[in-house]
Amino acid sequence: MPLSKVSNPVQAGRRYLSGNDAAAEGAIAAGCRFYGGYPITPSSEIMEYMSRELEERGGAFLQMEDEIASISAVVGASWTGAKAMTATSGPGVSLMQECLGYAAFTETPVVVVDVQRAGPCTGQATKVGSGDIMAVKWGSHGDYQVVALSPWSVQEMFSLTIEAFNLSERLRVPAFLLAEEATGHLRERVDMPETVEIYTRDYEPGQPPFGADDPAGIPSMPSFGDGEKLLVTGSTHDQWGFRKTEGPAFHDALVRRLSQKVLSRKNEICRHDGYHLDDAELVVVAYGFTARSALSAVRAARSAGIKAGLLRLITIWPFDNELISRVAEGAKGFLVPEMNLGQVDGLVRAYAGATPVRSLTQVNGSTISPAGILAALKEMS
Amino acid sequence: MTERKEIRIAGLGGQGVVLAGALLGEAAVKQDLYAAGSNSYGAQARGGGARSDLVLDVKEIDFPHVEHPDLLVAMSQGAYDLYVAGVAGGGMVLFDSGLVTPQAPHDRYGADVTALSLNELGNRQVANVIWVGLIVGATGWWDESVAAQAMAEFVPERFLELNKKALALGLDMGRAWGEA
Repeated sequence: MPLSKVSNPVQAGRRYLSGNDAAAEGAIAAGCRFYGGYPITPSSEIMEYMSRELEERGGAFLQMEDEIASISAVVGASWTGAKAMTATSGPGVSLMQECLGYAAFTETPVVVVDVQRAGPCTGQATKVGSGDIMAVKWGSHGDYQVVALSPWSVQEMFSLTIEAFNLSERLRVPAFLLAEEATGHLRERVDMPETVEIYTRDYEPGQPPFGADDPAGIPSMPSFGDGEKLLVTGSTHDQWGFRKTEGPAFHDALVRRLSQKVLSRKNEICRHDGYHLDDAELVVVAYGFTARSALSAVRAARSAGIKAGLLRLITIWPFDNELISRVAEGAKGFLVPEMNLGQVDGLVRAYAGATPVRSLTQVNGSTISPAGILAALKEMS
Repeated sequence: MTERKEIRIAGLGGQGVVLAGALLGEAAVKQDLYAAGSNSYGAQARGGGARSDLVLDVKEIDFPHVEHPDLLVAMSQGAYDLYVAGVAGGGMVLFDSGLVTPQAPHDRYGADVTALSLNELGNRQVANVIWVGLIVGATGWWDESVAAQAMAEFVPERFLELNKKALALGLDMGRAWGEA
């Protein structure tokens, strides 16, 4: 199995850490040995940490001239065999989109930590937002799939960064940690494990790097230096990487496989968490920091006699539509609080069937309070 | 400490507000509590007001931000004016009496910490560690020896003795407040 348990290389035990530092430690623990980046509020502490740490651990750190160069460097490093990452915020994600499409199409594992701030555009750089949900999925042109995970605690800034690496390496896709300023800058108790599970990239010498007979297959990934004849191109290519810019069958098979390799494994990828869902009539669907406000509100609602529950989405992409449909069957209503104008609300609505969905949006650069969610639950009950 | 507590330390940039909050969070975690801390971040941290919020609990913390502090430490008049109305019912307000003019009923626990730091310890910069001592002593929410241990990890070796004195000074006064 390419998933193996190893000793956690960062200090184990009970610690008090910031979210951004925990994400950087997660990257180190996952085996990341290349960071290419450009500093941006509110993610810069990740870059600062990696700039100190990577050299000591035999890795490489490059500050590039901008985010376009940063993600390009990360893609290149990944093809040398390194687990590679960058961290940024919304404006950086916008600049990276072209190369993220390149990474998806060339099946290059890369991890991007997006510590979201109040956008669009430059927006309020130091304030929180959660507006990049759709951008990380649909930002580059064409059809492709990515993985995006949504941490709600400093503990998960660590553990989900490792998971982002594991999924990225296993599926050969870009994987995002969709963090938020409020979690990146939160300092919190972390119970750091003694061991971590990390995925080692699949490589079988002589196997084609871009093809598989299986229409949902994930090919073996060689690195430059392994001695393979290796061509990497953003044009449509055959299983050996030769450009195939004519011929409908090549393009159709490749584009479908790039999606199917992720979508066919949704059951293994998608994770969620539930609180008081067993008899819940009103279900709050929340993710990231907002799920903490939601949990507090759900507990208060229960004390007030309202049968509320929380469905917390840990995986945002691929989106677990079956989960929404399943929970909808027992629910009288969904409430979707978000620090954007309803990006996940639209998805919940699409799969909620006849269950009514209420959106609670806030884009003022501050976190949604438990009181706001509780008030909405009271109105719905 | 048996239930959730919310603490807000607020003053001006440069008073060591953020360090005091981080130190108290670290100390809480060392004694097996859950702690979640947030600081003011942005333009206000580079000049004007500075704020360090801390939530403590014996169990996992759901909402990690401070809404109605059980303890407000006001190190400037601006911070006092801005935050005193949000203090929880029965909450405690500590203030720097050289810098803040409080209103009843929040006028009980004042100390001229800035002057004390300068006059007793010859250094204005350890005022925040005196405050840490005051907070620990007055509330009883932290184990004093663990707070001392956390402090030792936060300050440079060459300033350790000075900071130990500052912490002890704060603890003595804080304990008296706690018993009052």
